[in-house]
Amino acid sequence: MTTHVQLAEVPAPLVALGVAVLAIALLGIWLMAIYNALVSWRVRVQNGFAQIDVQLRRRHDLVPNLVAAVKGAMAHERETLEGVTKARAAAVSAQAAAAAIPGDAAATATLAAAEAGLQSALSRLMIVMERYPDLKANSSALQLQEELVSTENRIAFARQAYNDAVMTYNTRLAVFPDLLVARLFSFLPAGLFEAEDHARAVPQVDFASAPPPRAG
Amino acid sequence: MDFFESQERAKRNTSLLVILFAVGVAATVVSVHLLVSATVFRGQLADPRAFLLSAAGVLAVVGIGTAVKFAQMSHGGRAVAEALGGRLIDPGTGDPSERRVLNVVEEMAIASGLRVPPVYLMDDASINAFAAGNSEKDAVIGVTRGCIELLSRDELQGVMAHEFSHVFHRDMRLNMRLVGWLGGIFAVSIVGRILIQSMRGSRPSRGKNDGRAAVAALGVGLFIVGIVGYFFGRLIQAAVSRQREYLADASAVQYTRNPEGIAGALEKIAGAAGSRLSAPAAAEFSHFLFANGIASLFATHPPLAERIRRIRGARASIAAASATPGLPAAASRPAPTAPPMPTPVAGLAAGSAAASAPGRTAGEPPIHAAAVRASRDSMGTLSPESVARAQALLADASSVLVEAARDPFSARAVVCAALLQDRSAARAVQLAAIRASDPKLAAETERLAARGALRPVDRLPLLELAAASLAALSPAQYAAFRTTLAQLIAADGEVDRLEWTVRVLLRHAVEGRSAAPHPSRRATDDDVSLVASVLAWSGARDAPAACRAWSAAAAGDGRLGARPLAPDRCSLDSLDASLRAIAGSGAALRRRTVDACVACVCADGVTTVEEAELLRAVCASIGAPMPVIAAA
Repeated sequence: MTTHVQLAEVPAPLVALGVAVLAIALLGIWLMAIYNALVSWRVRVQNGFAQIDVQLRRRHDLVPNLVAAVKGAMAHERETLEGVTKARAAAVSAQAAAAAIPGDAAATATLAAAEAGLQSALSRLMIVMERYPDLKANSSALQLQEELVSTENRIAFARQAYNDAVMTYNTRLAVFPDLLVARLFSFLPAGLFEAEDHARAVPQVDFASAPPPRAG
Repeated sequence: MDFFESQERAKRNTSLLVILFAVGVAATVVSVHLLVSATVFRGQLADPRAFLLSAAGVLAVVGIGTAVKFAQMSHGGRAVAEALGGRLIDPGTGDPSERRVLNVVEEMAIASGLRVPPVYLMDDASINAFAAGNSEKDAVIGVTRGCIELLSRDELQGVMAHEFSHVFHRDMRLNMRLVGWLGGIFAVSIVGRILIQSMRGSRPSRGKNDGRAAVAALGVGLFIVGIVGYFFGRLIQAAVSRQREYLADASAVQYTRNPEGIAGALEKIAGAAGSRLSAPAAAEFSHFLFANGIASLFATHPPLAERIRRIRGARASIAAASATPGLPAAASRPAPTAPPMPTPVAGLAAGSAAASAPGRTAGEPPIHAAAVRASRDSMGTLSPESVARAQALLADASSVLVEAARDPFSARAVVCAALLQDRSAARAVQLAAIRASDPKLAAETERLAARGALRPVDRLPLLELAAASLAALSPAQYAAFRTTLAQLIAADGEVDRLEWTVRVLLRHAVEGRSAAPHPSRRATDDDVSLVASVLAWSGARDAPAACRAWSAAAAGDGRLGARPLAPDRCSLDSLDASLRAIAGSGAALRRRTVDACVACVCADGVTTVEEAELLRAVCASIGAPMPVIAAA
């Protein structure tokens, strides 16, 4: 039969090529699966960050109200109040910068530092507020203070969830074989939102000369 | 049509889908075979070995493509949302348009008893929306920015009602399967493309030039064949989804009784905004969307003008039809004398006795059994009354608590605060239990308990909101909270109905959002008995009352057995396991469970708020969401 003769002439390399094609297809599909998983973990990190973002915004919004409420009684504490206002401004710009490049490690670190600065400025303010008995009767100041404390708790909690997600994501990126896909599609490790617990001066971050984001 | 019947119908559509898929694969195999014969085997069409080779190749690629897609879809609705570039809207958001769509979704979820689905926002100026997920547990809603900014609240409600109807009827599950099956067919074109790209950079090396050229031709050919597969895929998508879109529109009109809402939205789409999505994955998921997502020969949605016409036509029939179905007569079932149960040990029965004691129910008027039955009959639907009731509940409930329920940290405190006893001694014990594992949580719980007075009727909506926020916890945080909650529940030595409700609700709401759902075992009659027993005991002060409740249920269902399970066999963990098993089973078993539970609760003619809460939580967790029960 002509058929058999023809098939016998099929070159062995061609059959091998057929197998190779199939292998490439399988590989491609497997890589796609890993890619999807990495995207999914990255989205989780971004959602975690969005959660912190919401609470940070809340904190930033509370600060001017608190300053306005206590300014009358604490007229002589200009330095403390100014410190708080400056720290808040730094935090707001850091937040805007971080929102522009979601998940960028450097921007997250800057934001974390700015927020820590704001937190310590606020705690200084709270300590000073203790010295003014009139403020204890001021219900709006008390309420704002309480809301700030509540927001601190929420930020800490959201930060914990975010850092958990970041650890998982970064681990996935570092593991073989996911790490090959990560390199191929430029998945960058995310930055942890670290809190510095010691009181520090507001970091003088000059955003005009901030380093450009890493290409990715 | 009954709720469960419509779910069964969606399931039957899946069979149609599989047949079409088989036809599509067969067509692809034949096309590939023709191609391969023409290019590689020099025109020998009839050779069985060549045919086997191409068939094997196609089936392998299709099989793996399908498997990968199914794996992706097993992550639930959020896989679709992420593929379409959606961003989760944080429940605590301050943006007014985002807040508004969240409010609309929350109201509808609370009104219908459905778990509050996360809402994803797609950054697109067009107007479109989708509902995706394998079940109610992992359902998500997606909206475009155009949708939340360009539509009025009524129109937004119409669109959301349409999406909710997809959730109730389990259309989403069918859609997820569709993506899986189609993934295989589309994969052939991907292989073709890979082949072409790999050949492009090839140098003529040793080996026959004929072979290389043939393989290149094969690549091009496979790509073209892939287009054939794509053709069949789109055909399948269109065939399956068009009819259901009409149905979803009709349901939306039924739920809102406001045809102008959804008609207005469709008109805005027909106007300047359009519904085209810019996301590259739009083609693959176009059958999920509210309106056509891409321009195509095979429209997945009926023409806008036709949809609007049908909706406006519905206005006449709404005026004609009566508003509510007559309430079914609550038949008084004679309770046959049952042999007395052995004295129950501590646990469930003691718990139910304690719950009847003035620990929590502060003189709330009981609910009539007829209202419970009415709610059961309108399962899986919405009505403007129930949505209005939900709106009122959310507005009435102390705003501090509602706001706290929308943030993960304080949502935990809302749950704990809801479980706090009124009596100060018991409360102190509970708070100490919380403080032992998480002092900050204890402080927040106390703060909330002091700020907001929690009426029993507000409890379930608040808990549902809180449960939705708790999904944002990381696995470690959730594990810690579960431990704290377990200690809180154990603190007063017994487990009362509210604590059961909270456990069921949390499991149902949070676990669906984790990475991959646990495979559940097959549900058996024992599972149904267990769930019904829990409900029977929950409403009873003593053993004879529980037996009477059980008899009422057994009268309607022969397979339930003579008496309820003993309380010591009804543990929280076994209830969890049974509910999970039942949730994964077919409509028939779930209907039996629901009817048995409703019968147990209605047996004595009077239902407390707590019994109703437990009933609704249990039904929600098995995929049978019961609407808010009208108070007396």
